[in-house]
Amino acid sequence: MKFGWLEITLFSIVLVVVISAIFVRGKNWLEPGFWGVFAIVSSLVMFSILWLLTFDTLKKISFGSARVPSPTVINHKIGFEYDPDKKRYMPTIGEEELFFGKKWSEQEATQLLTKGKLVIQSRNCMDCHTLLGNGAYFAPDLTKSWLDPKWQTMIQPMIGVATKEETMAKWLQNPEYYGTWQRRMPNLKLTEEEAKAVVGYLKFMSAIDTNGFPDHFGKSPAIF
Amino acid sequence: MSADSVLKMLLASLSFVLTAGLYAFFYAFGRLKGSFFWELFSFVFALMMMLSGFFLVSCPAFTLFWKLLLIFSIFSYLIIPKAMFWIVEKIHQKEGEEEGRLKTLK
Amino acid sequence: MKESKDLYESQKLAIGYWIVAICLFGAQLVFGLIISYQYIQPEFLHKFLNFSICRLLHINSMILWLLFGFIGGIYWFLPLETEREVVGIFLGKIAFIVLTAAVSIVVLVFLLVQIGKGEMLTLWLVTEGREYIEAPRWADIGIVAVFSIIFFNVFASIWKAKKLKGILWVLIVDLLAIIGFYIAGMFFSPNISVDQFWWWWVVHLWVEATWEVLVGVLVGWVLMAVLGTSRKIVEGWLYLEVFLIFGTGILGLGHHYFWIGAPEYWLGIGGFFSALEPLPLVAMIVHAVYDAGVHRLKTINKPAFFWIVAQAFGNFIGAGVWGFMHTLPQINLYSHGTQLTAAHGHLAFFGAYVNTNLALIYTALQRIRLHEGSILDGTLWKWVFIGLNLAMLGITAPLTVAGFTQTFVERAVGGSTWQAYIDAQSHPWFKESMIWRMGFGIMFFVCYVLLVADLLTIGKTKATHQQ
Repeated sequence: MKFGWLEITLFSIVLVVVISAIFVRGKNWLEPGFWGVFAIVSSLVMFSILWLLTFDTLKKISFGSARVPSPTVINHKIGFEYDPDKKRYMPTIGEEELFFGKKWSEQEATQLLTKGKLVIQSRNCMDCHTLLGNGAYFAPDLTKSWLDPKWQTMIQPMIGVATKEETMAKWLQNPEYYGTWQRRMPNLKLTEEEAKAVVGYLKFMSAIDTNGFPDHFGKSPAIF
Repeated sequence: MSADSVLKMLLASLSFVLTAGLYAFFYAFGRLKGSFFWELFSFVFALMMMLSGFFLVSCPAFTLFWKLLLIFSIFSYLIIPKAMFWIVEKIHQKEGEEEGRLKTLK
Repeated sequence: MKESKDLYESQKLAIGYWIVAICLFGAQLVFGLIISYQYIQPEFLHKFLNFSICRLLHINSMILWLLFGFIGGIYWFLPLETEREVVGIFLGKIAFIVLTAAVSIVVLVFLLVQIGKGEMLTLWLVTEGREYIEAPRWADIGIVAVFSIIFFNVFASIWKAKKLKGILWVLIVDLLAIIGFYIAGMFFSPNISVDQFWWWWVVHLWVEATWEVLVGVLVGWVLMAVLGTSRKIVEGWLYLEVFLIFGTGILGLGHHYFWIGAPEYWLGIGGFFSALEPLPLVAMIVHAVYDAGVHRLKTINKPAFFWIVAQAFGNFIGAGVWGFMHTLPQINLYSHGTQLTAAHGHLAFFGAYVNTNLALIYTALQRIRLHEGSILDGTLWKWVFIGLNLAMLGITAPLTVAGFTQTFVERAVGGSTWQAYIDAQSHPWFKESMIWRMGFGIMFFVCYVLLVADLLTIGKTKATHQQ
């Protein structure tokens, strides 16, 4: 879309006022019908604009777009860096790295993510955690969980496996063995395959461009 | 943006709309009672609303457009109680007239 | 209810809906108490009834009981508006039974099965795992079917009575929109950004657009019934409200699209429209004060009147103040997904919807239990009114403090990591807030019990000497 949001916004308001004004000519503003016209026109105009924007947005957030990467992003190193031009944090997709010891083809990666999403929904993750900031607030936000330093500083030494993804998969299968805090994640009976799929999903999710949310993730100057 | 300023902005935007509502409440209450005291009292909240609003406007986190939007909000909140009271009176007046007319017709 | 012989069949159906609604309200509170205790003592019911399950039941029973209440309101006022029995009332009764049975099955599955394997079958039979619309797919389809029957009832009755205008016209369009938007939530996508994009269509466009308008219709009816407000004023207000709600609310959807991966223009559009959203709510306050003052609190139905006035203020405080507080993207970047959202949700749902439902029920009770012209009043409802409102403020104030703590410690300072989260949750301000919240939660529950007692008894004994 060539128009900026400000143009869209002002255009929608002007459109509502102009069209309504045409239809209410001669009506007294104290009559209900006067406002009825405004009600109908504003609903129609705003909803039409929402439809247009929906098409545009869906195109811009499909797999492989600039904002939502292709599933094969799990074959790459992912970071989260400050972008001085955009004045916010942006995910960075770096060089290739193996994920669970192999390179995933597009089809395999898509299957893995589909599985991961199904597992996330079937275990009601969103009713304790937040994903992209939405969900419940009983457990940490998982938007950039893949980049969380705790996996390497605390969990990996506890579990004693070689890579971060294996650490996460192991931990997800037995969260109650490796307590991190008084609030314990219950064992949701993830199979190994399901756990791997969830880890794949978390890695993919950390590469989504979320307009800078959560700000300075893992880059806090304060020591915690 | 510093962590302190986030907290201050949160507090300011809380008090911004809250005081705008209190101003509207006490203004309407004062007008209804015909009490100058309550009307005057409501302006205390109008002042607090403006202060919170201008604090938000002064925050460097907001770019020019947002500052203009906030200034627009401040002015809206300032005139809404008075304007709304006028509208509501007008509506009820008209309604009263019509009811009166219906009665005489009968 | 022995005096109900002169009620329309559909009004009896409305009573059925309200009875289920009040029961679900109780269930919501029980699960709410459990999860608020789990914040203090995480081992409570750990592994048997985890936080996720109780929280899921807490929010879903809320959605359902509010919906049941609204449907009850529609069935109650529709025959009064059309001056005839609802067309296809038998179908309507079947729909009620089917809906209630389906809700019971879904709740039992949530309680007993809880989770499933990571495959489509789970989404069809156990849970969809998307906040607020966890109901499995079969139940989704059932809900749409039942709503279609209700829509048929409404549409056919209005059509036959030849009254397709004014308030009823708004009701019809709004019901269609409610059904339409619900369908937007009924598919699976592996792309979480697409998933959340449509998910908000359901959640936001229901709660912040179509429900608000439906409540506008219901409040209009209540005002006409308990205050004798003229139809013209109600219609004018309703149109104005639709204009403002849809005018700002539809694109206000953008404030949910800030951080889900959607393009940057949503920051501007969402922020702009949600900054405008409190303006009409402030205007409503002036109107509520004026109306309450002009009528000098004279009404035939004290409790309904008070709950309706509380609705105007509740809407302003919950949706306006607590909504605006964290809606601007510059602030929301840090406050998104903290307890501030919980505080806002509690206040807004209570202020806008719970109040309306209670007013509806009291309005009906007056008609059921009293002779025409006598005043519904008592002492217990006053305590319930004060108690519920105070308790709700008492629940949200600590949540707000907790949200500030989280925004500051976890987000702004700590950078939102796992450890930053733990630090915020262990902060004394957060921990103490959770205890206060629990305390007021208990108070809310006590008031709920009193509310049920009041609903069962009001008007039964005091009717004669109140006249």
